[in-house]
Formats: sequence, structure tokens, C-alpha cells
Amino acid sequence: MEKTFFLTKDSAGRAVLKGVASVNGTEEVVVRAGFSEEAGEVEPGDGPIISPTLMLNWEMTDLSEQVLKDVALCEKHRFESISVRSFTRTFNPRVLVLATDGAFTKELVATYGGVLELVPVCLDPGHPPKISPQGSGLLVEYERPLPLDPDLCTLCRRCVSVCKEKAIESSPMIVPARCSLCNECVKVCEPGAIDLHRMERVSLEADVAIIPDDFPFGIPPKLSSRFFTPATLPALFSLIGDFLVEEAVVHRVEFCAYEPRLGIGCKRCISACRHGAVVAGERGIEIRQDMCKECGACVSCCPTGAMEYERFPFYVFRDYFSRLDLAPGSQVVIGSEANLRKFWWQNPDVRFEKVFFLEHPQHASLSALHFLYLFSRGVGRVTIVPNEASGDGLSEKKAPIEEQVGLSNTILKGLFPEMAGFVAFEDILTLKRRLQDEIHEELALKEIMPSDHLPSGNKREALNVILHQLFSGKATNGQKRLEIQEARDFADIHLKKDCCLCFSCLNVCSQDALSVRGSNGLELVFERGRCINCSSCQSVCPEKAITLVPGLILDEGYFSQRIVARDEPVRCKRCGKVFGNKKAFERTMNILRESGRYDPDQLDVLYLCEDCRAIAMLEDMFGDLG
Amino acid sequence: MNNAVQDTDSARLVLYAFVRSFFDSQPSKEKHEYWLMLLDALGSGTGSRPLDEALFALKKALSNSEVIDVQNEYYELFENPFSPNRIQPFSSWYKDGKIMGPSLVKLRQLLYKLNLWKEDSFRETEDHLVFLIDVMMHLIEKSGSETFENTRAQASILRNYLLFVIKGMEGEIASLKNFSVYKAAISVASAFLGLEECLFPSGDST
Repeated sequence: MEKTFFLTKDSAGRAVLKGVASVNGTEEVVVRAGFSEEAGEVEPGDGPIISPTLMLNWEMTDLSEQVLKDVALCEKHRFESISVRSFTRTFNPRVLVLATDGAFTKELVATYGGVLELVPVCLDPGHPPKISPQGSGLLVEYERPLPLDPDLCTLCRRCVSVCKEKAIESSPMIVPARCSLCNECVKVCEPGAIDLHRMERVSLEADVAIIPDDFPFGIPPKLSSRFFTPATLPALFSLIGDFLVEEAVVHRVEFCAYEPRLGIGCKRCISACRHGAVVAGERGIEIRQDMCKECGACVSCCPTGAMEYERFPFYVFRDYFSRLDLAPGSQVVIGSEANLRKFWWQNPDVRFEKVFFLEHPQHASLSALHFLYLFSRGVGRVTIVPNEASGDGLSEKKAPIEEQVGLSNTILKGLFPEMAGFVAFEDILTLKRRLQDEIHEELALKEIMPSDHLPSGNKREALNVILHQLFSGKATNGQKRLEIQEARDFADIHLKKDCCLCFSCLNVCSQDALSVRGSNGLELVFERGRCINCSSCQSVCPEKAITLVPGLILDEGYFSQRIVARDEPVRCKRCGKVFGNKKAFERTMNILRESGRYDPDQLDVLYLCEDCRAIAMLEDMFGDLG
Repeated sequence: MNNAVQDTDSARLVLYAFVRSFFDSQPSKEKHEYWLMLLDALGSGTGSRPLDEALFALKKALSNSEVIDVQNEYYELFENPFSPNRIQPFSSWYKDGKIMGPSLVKLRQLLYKLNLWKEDSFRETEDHLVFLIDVMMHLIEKSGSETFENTRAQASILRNYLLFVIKGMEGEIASLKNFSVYKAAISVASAFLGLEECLFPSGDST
């Protein structure tokens, strides 16, 4: 139903966006300024959208009513565009109880038997088990004594009659505690069922394991999350049951630069994930949704956009700011609802000029693309309010968002040397002062770039569009080259002369940074702007002719293709068709000649294309086919 | 131990045994007679109005039923695996939403501390109503010698397990048609346990 929208106030004086149906004139509140905790128990989809962003901008900025209406409409569009898939996961684990002490396993089984699917295993202290990952669980291989093999035993009971210690039971089995190793039973056992020193190898698969605190064997660090002690069993119980899992982070294989068949390529998301939720599977990158904490690290560092944050994907971000007419030089403040609400609470009766607040569920998923896009829309400064709990910027390892902020600032400073810093983190305690600081509005772009043609899929393609617009604008002012060596998501390629143009590299370059050009397909060309430094080409090159030099070099060459290797074609001796290139052909011929396994006459056939080669072989067998 | 306490404990034991007898095995003619006889003996009143009302309702239901009717009720409620009216006499069913839930572990740990364990011949888990009543009766019998810990244990068994089973069963059977004897028996158990709860100050269970 078609609606017209208008912004008004509710009885509490807060902004609401109302929609009026053109057919019958009925009014409905579509977006309401507020915070989610005030909404109470409302099912998603019921009632209006509660917008913290509208609330903050309504109460804390000097945005005009028209812009606030646009904010409300943007919020409407944002929440209607977002859909996060969810599913129910059931976890009823098979649990190994591993110990060298039988009393431990016995007590565990007595207490947890039935509640957990327990498999007690009493290990021999002299034989360490082999513990390895198996699917999403673990595999434990160990040896245990098998003095009496029940498969070989014929139940003749001769052993029973000679055993003075009565150590042989009817199961049949030998009780080690009673056995004196006198070997009398072995002597009388005709089928060889008894060997007091025999060991058997056992393999057990399970989801998790329970071990005592003083477990004497090592646990592989990667599997430590799958081992529990009696003290940590509440953590295991918290994992058991049916859980609703939301796929807030998704992986889009069509953009991914990881090559699962060879196990090479970009693995930034795996390294960035501190929760073990991103793994390399047989079919590519996999996200273990139940382990994902939505920290945003994998999304932020992904140079291609294969990892995407579904609660605020880039295409929604792009559309949001393309619809919003912010004054040039405005400041954008991005933070979580909780943080921004705290700031709102601490600052009553304060209004900021030329400031726009954006509630973002996970700012750590943002990247240089988002920041440079904001710059291209005329934004003068971006401030990120970090989450206190996550301690952004305080962790030992630099978070991907920090690298992205650094990259954005370096690029902009390179292009606009007078710019101090476009993006910065600011704690809520000091945010007020920062927002009241003057910013150099003259540095903001006066001509806002159109975003209609900005791709929403591949992040690098979108970034290149923005970089091209920024660079071509500055290049005319004399800025011809910008070099950022620490930008590890970019690289240039150097080829040695011995590249034989086998084109192995083309098969693994998912970003099409490498391609073939020329009517006969004999020029290997490289587009620097597309290279994400995944190093797949380097890994597969049989001649080891490729060297990637990390770093961003922003010049005219960044946006165009350049020939990195060239060769002459090889033509079929018979029909003249091009069937290869000279260097690769010669190299193959040399290898075959040097092998000494072929007569020179036999090799002549290789000078023919695949069609003529078949004809020549048939002629060899049946005479001239003509 | 003074005589009044002894009398109270004896009465509690009688009532626990009475409640237990409805759930430990299929009702028989002897049981039916025992129930009516005991209900006659309790006719003068227990001093608790809800319990007296529940006992009166149970007596009426039993008087109006033949042994075979009570046996059928028991079969449909506790034995027939295909019965749509089956109810679960396990506390973890009501505490955790499933049989053999994590609360069973806590119960086992408590029993371990009390040095109590289940005999293999009893095939149900430790959180079965009958086993819980047995534990309670055992604790009452021993309450003379180990007062403090014993009282805490009784309160814990009652509040954390027994009440959950009985209240849960009461809720489930309320929605069923028929089953007049077991509805009344569970009401008696509920009223009795309500009275039992008053014996323990709120801080007694852990």
C-alpha cells in the first residue's frame, strides 16, 4: 500500500515517523525515536521500529526537521533491508571420560550417567593417548592391555583350572590385579587366546572429554576448548540443549580469495577470529555460527567483502548515507546503542552542531571502505565510540578495525596533507569535548560523490571506485603518487624473466588481478588495484617466478592493467593454428628431450596442435587418411 | 528428642509412606483396602484444612472406584508407553524440561554427600518421586542423631526436588479428564508437602 510519510512528535515529545495510506488515509507510526530497552517485550515485526539513531539526533543535534525525517526514513529502510537468518542447533554431546584413575571415571559415571552420554576410558599411564581433532569433535587413540582375546577363546576353561590366583573370569577376561604373570594359562591355551603382554589399539570419537585436574597427558592447544574438568562442567552444561543461532556474519564464497583445494590464499578472517569461529573447511571458509561472538574482526579485515555483517551490511550503509543529506563537513559519531545511550544520559540539554549520531550494532565490522565512503559523501570527521567491554585498542593484538582506521587516515593524509586525522576512537568521557572542537570544514569534499554506481558486492571494487574519484580529483593538483608500505591488503607483482606463461597463477587469482590479454592470449597482465596480496599466485607458480611486494601504491597505474610477461605464440606445423606459447613449449620439449625416453621422431608430433596430433597418429597406424 | 517431635516424625513417615504407595507399583486389592483404612483413621482431621479437604476428596474417589479402575489409571499414567495421558514422576522433567537433566547431577551430588545411593534393583533414576520419598523417609528416621545437616538435607530434597515433581504432576494431571483417584492422590501429596514446607525455615535448603 502506498504511503506518504511525515515526522511529528508523540505525547512524550519524541519524534515519530508516521505513514499515511494514500487509499484510506489511515495513519500508522512507522519509526519511533527511542531506545530498545524502553520498548519492552515486543516481538520483532510488531509495532513501529524503535530507532536509537533518530532519538539521539532528535535530542542532541541541530539537524533540520527535513534531515530528521530523512534519518527516520533511512532507519526504516535500514531495518526493512536487514534480514538475519537463524536456525536451531541441538547439542547433545558424546563425552569421553579420560583418566588413569578408575575411581575418577567411576565417580563421574555415577554422578553424570544418563544426564550425559558418557564413555569412560581408563588409560594406562605408560601409554599416552593420541588426541587429534575429528570433524568438530575429537579422536582419541590409545592402547589397552588385551591379555585374553575373547574372539580367539573357545571357552575350554583349561586356563581356569591352572590359574592359582583365580584371575580369569567367565566374561572371559583376566583381572590384572589378581594376575601374578606366572604364564601357566598361556602354556595351556591352544588357540593362543592368551598373551599377557598383548595390547590392542582403540579409537574413540567424541564431541568433548572430561579429564581430572591432574590429567598426566598433554592436550593439543587447538582442542583445549573441548576438554572439561569437574570444576568446568557447568560450562559444558551451558553448551548442551537447543539454541537459536543467528547468522549475523555470513561468508560469500563468490568473493572469497581462499583456495580450499590447495589450502592457499587469503586467510585473514581465520587469523582475525579470536573465538575459533572461522575455519578453513574442505569447501572453503566456514563460519561456526554457534561460536561466533559477532566481534566483527573477520568482516573488518576481509579485503573482498566475502565476510559480511548481516546486521548492517555495506550495501545498506551505502544506501543509508546516499539518502541522507548531511551538511558538508559534518561529524559522524558511530557507536553501540548502549554507549550512545550512556552519552545521551550524561548530556541532557546539550545540542551539537553539524553532528550526526549513528547507532551501529558492531562498529568493529567497519573498514576503510566505510570511512572513505563517508569522506566521499562530504563528511568532515568520523568518531568511533569503542565498546568498554571489548577494550578496543587495548588488546595485545591490533584489532582489524584499528588497522582500517589507520589505513583510511593514511590514505586521506596522503591525498590531503593538511588533514590531521579523519577517523578516530573517542571514549564517551571525552566525546563531548571532541564534538565541540572545531574541525577544518574546508578539508571536507565540497562536491559530494555520487554513490549510485558504487558496487555493493566486492569491497575492493567499491573501494577502487572511491579511490579513483579521490585520486583523479587530486592528481590534477599535482599529487601524482601515494605510497603506503604498511597497507598489507595491497601488493604489486614482480615477475622474473623465467616466467614461461604457464598461467597457473590465473587459475587461483579469484580477484582477476591477473589476466590474459592479446589476440593470441600471450600477454600476462596485472591490475594492481585488484590485488589483495593473498599470495595464491606466488604459491602455485611452478617456476617460482612471482614475487609480491606488499603495500599500496596509488598512482595512475593502480587503476590500469600492465603487462608483466609476454611471449610469442607457437603455431601448428601442419595447420598453423596457435596452440601454446614459445617459452612453455620449449621448456616442455627440453624436459622431454633430456629425459632420454623419446626418439626425436616421436617428439615431432608435439609440434602439432591437438587436432593435427590425432590425425598424425591415425595416419601413422592406417596410412594417409586423405 | 522430645515426644512431640517424635510424634510429628511418626506422622510424617505414615503420610510419606501413604503417598509413596500410590506410585511405587501397580495398585492392588490390598493397597486399596489399606488406603481406605488409613483414610478412615485420618477422618478426625490432620489440623490442616487443605490436607483434610484433599484426603476427603481422595476417600470419596477411592470409594467410588473399583480396584481395576485404579489399576487402569495407574497403567495409563505411568506404564503404558503409548498413552497420551502419561505423566512423568521425575523432578528433572519439571526442573530441566527433560528426563535426566542437569538437576539430577546436583541431586546425585547431594546424595553422595549424604552417603546415600540407589540400589541397582530400583530401575528409575534418583529423581523419581518414589526414590525421593524414600530418601526423605530415611532422613526423617535418622533425624534424631544428625539434626542440623539432616534438616538442611530434608529441606533441600523437599524444596528442590519433591515439590517440583508433585507440583508438576499436579499441573499435568489437572488438564486430563478422568483419573479421579490419582488426581485426588496427587492433591493429597501436594497438600501434605505444602504442610511439610512449613517445617523448614526458608534458609534451610541449599
